[in-house]
Amino acid sequence: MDHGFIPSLVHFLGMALLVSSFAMIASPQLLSCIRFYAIHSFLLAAITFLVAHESHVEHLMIPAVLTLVLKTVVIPQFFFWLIRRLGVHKEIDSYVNIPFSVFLSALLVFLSFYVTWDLKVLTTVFSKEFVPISIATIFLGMLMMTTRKKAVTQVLGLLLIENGLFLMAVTMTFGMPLLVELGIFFDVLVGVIIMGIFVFKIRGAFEGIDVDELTVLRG
Amino acid sequence: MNMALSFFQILLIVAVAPSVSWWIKKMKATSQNRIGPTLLQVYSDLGKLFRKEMVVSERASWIFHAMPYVLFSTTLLASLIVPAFFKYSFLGFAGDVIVLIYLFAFGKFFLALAALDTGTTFGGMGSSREMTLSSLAEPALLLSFFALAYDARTLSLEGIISHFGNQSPVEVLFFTSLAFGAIFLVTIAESGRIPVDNPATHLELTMIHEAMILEYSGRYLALIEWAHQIKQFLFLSLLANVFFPWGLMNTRTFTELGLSVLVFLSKIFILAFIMGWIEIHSAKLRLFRVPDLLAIAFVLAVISLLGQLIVVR
Repeated sequence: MDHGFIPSLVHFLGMALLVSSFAMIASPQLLSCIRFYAIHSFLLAAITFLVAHESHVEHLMIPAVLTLVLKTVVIPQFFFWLIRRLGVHKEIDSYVNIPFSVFLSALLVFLSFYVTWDLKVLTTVFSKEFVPISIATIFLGMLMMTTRKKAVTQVLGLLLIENGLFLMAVTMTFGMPLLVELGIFFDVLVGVIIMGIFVFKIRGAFEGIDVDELTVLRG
Repeated sequence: MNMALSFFQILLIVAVAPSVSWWIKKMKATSQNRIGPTLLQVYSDLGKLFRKEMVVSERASWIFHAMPYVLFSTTLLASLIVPAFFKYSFLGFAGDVIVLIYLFAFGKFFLALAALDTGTTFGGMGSSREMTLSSLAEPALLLSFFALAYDARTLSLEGIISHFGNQSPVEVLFFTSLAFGAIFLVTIAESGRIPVDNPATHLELTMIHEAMILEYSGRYLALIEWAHQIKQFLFLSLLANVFFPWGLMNTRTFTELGLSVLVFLSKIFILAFIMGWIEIHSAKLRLFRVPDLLAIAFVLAVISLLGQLIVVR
């Protein structure tokens, strides 16, 4: 078959996005997990930029730049700072071990490719391969939120879900109106900061950020 | 003419294979401020082993005696399928990727059997380890070849190579990068290089391939070593020709023949350089962490296959 330059680049970026979300699931260290989140967001920004450039939708450039600044630089730096302040130990605690969660996420990726296989409703404005990829990203984020013990990694899972939703919005409808988009970015930033403060509070009350402790009542 | 060139191709593969091992040994030696062996050393090692007397356990059955020949001949058959500097291979009409993978698996099966045959503890340990790892490496290899074949619409190596050879380089690199990662990891595992297995030591905690061939000596050991080197060379030439399919020969002038041999060998040695670089810069993984590495290869292969499916849909 015939590939052009842009379709193959898009394909590469989409696959790399999927690989980096796998890497977030599979990384045994908290810091490398955050770095992979930064890479994930960088790829997302690149895809957004490509969509904006190829479809001549210039207002998408603003979300692309915001993704680049906010999600690849500001939020990861905030997390690094948070980890330094908390002094948490660096390994990731999970309810299922890492090889099994990689296996689960491979199943979830299969599932998301399967359910979007011949859905005629899901038509995209840009490239059709992003529908299953964004659904897979949302699934992987959910997996990360449900299987991880630490509050910080659960926040990372939420951010992964947000990335998936953003990707879907961009590739299916050229993104939301600019005002809504800006609101979402502001939301994410404030949400992360609030959750950071919340994590501090959890640490203060329970001497650790393991959310298992939250189920134990204290008088 | 095709026949003669294919014959030359096999001779080249069999003759050059030990020098790739030398290249990686030399790189390692240079990085540790040693002088390292000369190129002739690997060949004279093989020659010396061929001349030496064999010591065979009296408990050994026919499997022990048959294994070196089975291993060497399956590897030789595999080298008839893999194109090197020339687009056509001698047995290309008869075999595709699946035959190639199972020829390697057949040789490996006999290797594991023969290691169990003499009843030493090391042999059993080595074959159990080898089988565990290869059961993880094989699906990754198959799936990534399926991903390539799905795009090329054929499973034969010649077809895949000429399909990717007709496309522009950037597109091929973008489309096959994940499969390349998967096959590269499998290559490291199959040729027993450092993150997976250490070819230089005989330490019971770590050895996989070496543990299986501890009982062998003399001519048999030479055959096994040589087969292992040819196998490593074949994996490298798969990587070189499937993912960088440029510079393969089309017409039949002598200058072009020389040029394509040169291009082919430089691709091989660059890939071997990357492998050696990884070997220098990483420590051997704990045995129970090796499945994680192969799981990465498997995930890469699955994603590349799914990606191909979604594109071609």
